[in-house]
Amino acid sequence: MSRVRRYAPPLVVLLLVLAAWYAVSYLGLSPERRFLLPPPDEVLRVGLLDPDNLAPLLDGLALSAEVAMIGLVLAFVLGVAAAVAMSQARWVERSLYPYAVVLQTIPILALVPLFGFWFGFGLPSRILVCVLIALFPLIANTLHGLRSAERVHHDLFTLYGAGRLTRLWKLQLPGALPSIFTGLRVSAGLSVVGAVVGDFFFKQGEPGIGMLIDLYRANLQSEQMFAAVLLASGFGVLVFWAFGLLARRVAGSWHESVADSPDR
Amino acid sequence: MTAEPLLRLAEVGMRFADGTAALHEVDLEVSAGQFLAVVGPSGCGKSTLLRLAAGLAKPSSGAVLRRTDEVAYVFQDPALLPWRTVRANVELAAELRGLPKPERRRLAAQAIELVGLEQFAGHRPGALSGGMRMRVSLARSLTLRPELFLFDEPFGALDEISRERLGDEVAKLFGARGFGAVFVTHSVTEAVFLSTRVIVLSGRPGRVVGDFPVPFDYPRPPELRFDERFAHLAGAVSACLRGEAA
Repeated sequence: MSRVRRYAPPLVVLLLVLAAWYAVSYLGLSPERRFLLPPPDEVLRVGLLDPDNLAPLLDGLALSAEVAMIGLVLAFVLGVAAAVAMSQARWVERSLYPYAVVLQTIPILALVPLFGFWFGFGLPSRILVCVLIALFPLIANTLHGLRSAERVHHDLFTLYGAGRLTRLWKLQLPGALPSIFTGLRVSAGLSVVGAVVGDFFFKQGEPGIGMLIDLYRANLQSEQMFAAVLLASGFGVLVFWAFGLLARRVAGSWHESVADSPDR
Repeated sequence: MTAEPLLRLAEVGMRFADGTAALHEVDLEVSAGQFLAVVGPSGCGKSTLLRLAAGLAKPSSGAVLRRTDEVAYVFQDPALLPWRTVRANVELAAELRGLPKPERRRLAAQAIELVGLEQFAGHRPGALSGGMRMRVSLARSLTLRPELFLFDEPFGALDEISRERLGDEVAKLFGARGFGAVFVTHSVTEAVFLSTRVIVLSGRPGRVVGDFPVPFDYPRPPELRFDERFAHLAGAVSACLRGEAA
């Protein structure tokens, strides 16, 4: 019963979306304009089941996934380090946080061509796009988590003469884990977006999934284009889900918001 | 009391940054074997008094003198780390003081046994009731064999039965170990049952307006709460407190 309750609602939504998709493809579009939205079975048949089309898609996805994950790891290291530094001294926070916010608000898209210009079109530039787009949620969530330790816990650590490092290692960082994972999940999704977007704009070098999307668009190969979009978003969902799973492994046994998250 | 006091507050005053005066010229002393209960209307600076005594805050005037570093503070909130098991929470005090692992394991095991939670040593706080969490907090404060205990309304959030039961245990511990203690509470019954002396604080800014010696011997049986002399004393403390609250 509980399984039905858990899986039925999203399945119903999926069926409704597929039905609407078919309706638009077959009823809304004339056959000559059907390439604007090919029906799902065509996308599946041409884009995903035909090995000749699937192979380049998977290669592109692998490249984009590599870029996204390297970017995420770098953003994680930088973000957590920055948040730890900010949590240790107000002046560090006052110096750095405004620029972290700027990072979030500047249109990264506008910078992407610049990066290509400055750093070339290889992996480093693409990874840089991912780092910049994924950094802020990691800083903000980690900092929030580090600051969320209660006063009574700080008092306890003060009473027993704990130093700064001990306090950070035994109180603030473990307490921040659920927030850090929230940041990781958001940033993981963003990093995948960054990899696709960077790729889409560079249009040079080894083709990732973003470049393939652009290529299929130019060639009006809409089945392959839809398949590429689906694969890219599927990968984003997979990463999001994987970090949720990891969060529950690490903190689910003691932190309610982690244990009760709805996307199990 | 011939022994040099473990804690002495001399004309201690406390005024916060926003100008609120919390305490006014408070004098008090606690020696080993003395259990001082502090009652007063809410907001009279009882908790501030304990924070000053523990060194968590500095007084605006007067002096706080402590003769021991072995101070245990039992907070109103059990203050357990939710990611640690009961055992690891109890070990924390010894761990922060840098004791070697086998030593703190041993101390924690003793303290857990003392509060009767052996079966729950591997559980996390989230799986325990409020009373059990308070027991864990008590066990943690016991590990380092403190000479001075500071209690900040530790059982205020518990139901009547858990509260009395934990009170009985604290009284038993005090009878056995003879530490010095300051116990802040808003329950007159609890204050009289546990202490050797009850101090009544006035409304804000708190100053000492009543001082009642409690003549009952330890160990104190739970039935003492229904004794006539107990009721008389509790009545007198209550009257003093009501006079202040009015």
